[in-house]
Order: sequence, then C-alpha cells, then structure tokens
Amino acid sequence: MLVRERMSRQGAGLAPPDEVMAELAGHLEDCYEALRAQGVCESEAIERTVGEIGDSRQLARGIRRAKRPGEAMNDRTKQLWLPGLASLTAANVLLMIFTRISLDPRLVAERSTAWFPGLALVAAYSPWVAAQPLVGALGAWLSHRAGGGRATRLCAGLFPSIVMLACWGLFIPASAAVERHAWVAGHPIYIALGALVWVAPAMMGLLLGSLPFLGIRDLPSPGATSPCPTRT
Amino acid sequence: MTKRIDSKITRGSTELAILALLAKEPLYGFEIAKRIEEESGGALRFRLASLYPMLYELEKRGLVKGHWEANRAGRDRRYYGLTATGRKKLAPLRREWRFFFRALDRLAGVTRA
Repeated sequence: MLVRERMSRQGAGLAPPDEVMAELAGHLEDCYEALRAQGVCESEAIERTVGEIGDSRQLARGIRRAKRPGEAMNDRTKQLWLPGLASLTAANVLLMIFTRISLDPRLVAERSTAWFPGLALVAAYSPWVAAQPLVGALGAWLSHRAGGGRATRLCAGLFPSIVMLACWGLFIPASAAVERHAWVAGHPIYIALGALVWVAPAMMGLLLGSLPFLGIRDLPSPGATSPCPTRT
Repeated sequence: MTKRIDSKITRGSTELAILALLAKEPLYGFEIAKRIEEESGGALRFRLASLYPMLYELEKRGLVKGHWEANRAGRDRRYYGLTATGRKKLAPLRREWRFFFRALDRLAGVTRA
C-alpha cells in the first residue's frame, strides 16, 4: 500500500505493475522485520523502512525505463549491422565517385587485351581498392566504439566484401538458376573468377584497415555498467 | 567507521556486485541488498531506487532471471538467478573492473593507500 501510494503520487501511468509492487512490498516487509529483530523500536523501524524507498520518483522512473520492452536498438544492431551498413555505404559511395572520376571500367574491359577482362577491370578499380582500408577502418572503428567484440569488429570491417561474396556465391547463381541463364550456367569458372576479383582485393584492403581495431581491448558493451562514475 | 563510497561509483558497480552474488546462488531483492552491504563491510548499500531498476534491467538483458518462490519464512519472494548469458558476461566484466582498478592504482596508488 505504502509503495503504491508513493509511486502513484508521481503521476498516472508511472505506477509499476502489481508484480513489481508485490516485490517491493516484500522487500520493505523484510526490511521492517530485520530492523525489529535487531531491537529497533516500531516507530523508528517504520521510519527507516520508509526511508528505504528513497526517491520514489526516481524509483518509478527507473522501473518504468527498465520494464520498457526492448531498446530501440539491440547490441547486435549497434555493433554489427549499423557499422556494417556504414562501411557498405562508404564502399559504394567511393565506388560511385571513383567510377565517375577515373577511367570508365566498361571501356577498359572492352579494350582490354587480357585473356580475362576482369583483370583489366581490377586495374580500372584500383583507386577504389586502394581506398578500401579506410572503409574497413570505418566499419571496425564504429563497431569498436559500440562495444563490439573482435569477431564483430572484423565482420563490420569486411562487411562490403561479405555482401559481395554473398552476391557472387548465392544471389547470382540462384538468379541464374531461376532464370535458366544458359551462359552463367555454362561458365562457372567465369563466375568464380568474377567473385575472386571483386571480393579478394577489396577484402584485403578492408582487412588492412580493420587490423588496427582488432588488437585493442574489448570495450564494455553499451548496456553494461561502465567503471566510470555514472549519475544516480 | 566505514566510509560510504560516493553514490555515483556505487551505482556504477551495482551490475558487477549483483552478478557476482547471483553467481553463487539465487537470491531475492532484500537478500541481495543485505549481502552486498554485509560483504562490502557497509561500503556499498542499495536502496530500492537503485537496486530494483538494475535488477529489471539485467533481467531485460537476459543476464538474470526471476521467479517467485517461497522463502524460509514461507513468504513468496522473487528469486533471481544468473542465466547462462549472465555467467558468460561476468568474466569479462570482472576483467574490465580489474583493469580499471589496476589503471587507477598505477595513477593514484589507491590499493596501497
């Protein structure tokens, strides 16, 4: 009754559910009885028990916040998906910029005398590949900042290449199978080489950029208590 | 006489204190608060406003799990036990605090004070 009365004074909708009330009431009951068992007189025991509640507004707010279902973003989103998405976006934006300002890759491929035009394309895309360490560093750093573990930081850093590998390894063969694309089905080696030149060089660059962030100590996850003093 | 630690630091250490206690055995709120106060020699003390929001937060994050059970006096109390995730979380949390105290020790010689 006492807890409910105190908490409901804080405004409608702030009072915690009955289960919480029962738990808090049980705590106060135990507290009162422990004081009485120590020989504290009834009035003082009541006063000290009421004092246990402390700031009831803070209690109501704290419980409400803690009981709120799920945070907008869980740790995996903050540590992997967002940094991964950021590195993927950065890789694509850079690709767009380099494609505009450097040699036209299609022209390079068409005029190439190499036995496999993909190799010539690597040359056309080399400025983009050279920029990949920055992209990898961005993904790994964002993941590190969000408290991601070493493996998560690595995945966030390599994310653009992982997506590219999934494209070449899953989506292209799957779509070719669905559409019954005869050329793709008849030239698996080209697909494998395409995957190699699109994934491997960029992945090396991304790995290079991620490396500095893999050796540093794990940060506590955002949900975890930081050793730094926090406000009560 | 035992001096009380600044409430801000106390708040920051709640998670580790609770998880470390629950690693030994399941306890209910009052027992947790009592044990923390006793085992810290009175230096750490939690009121309702700091203990329960933290317990619910830990439960929401899947580190502890609560269930109603009668205590020795036959009264229903909500016991909290460490989950597998909580157990996994405890070791790195201990390492972080050890690292923090070592750093503080190097800086200010706190453990030799």
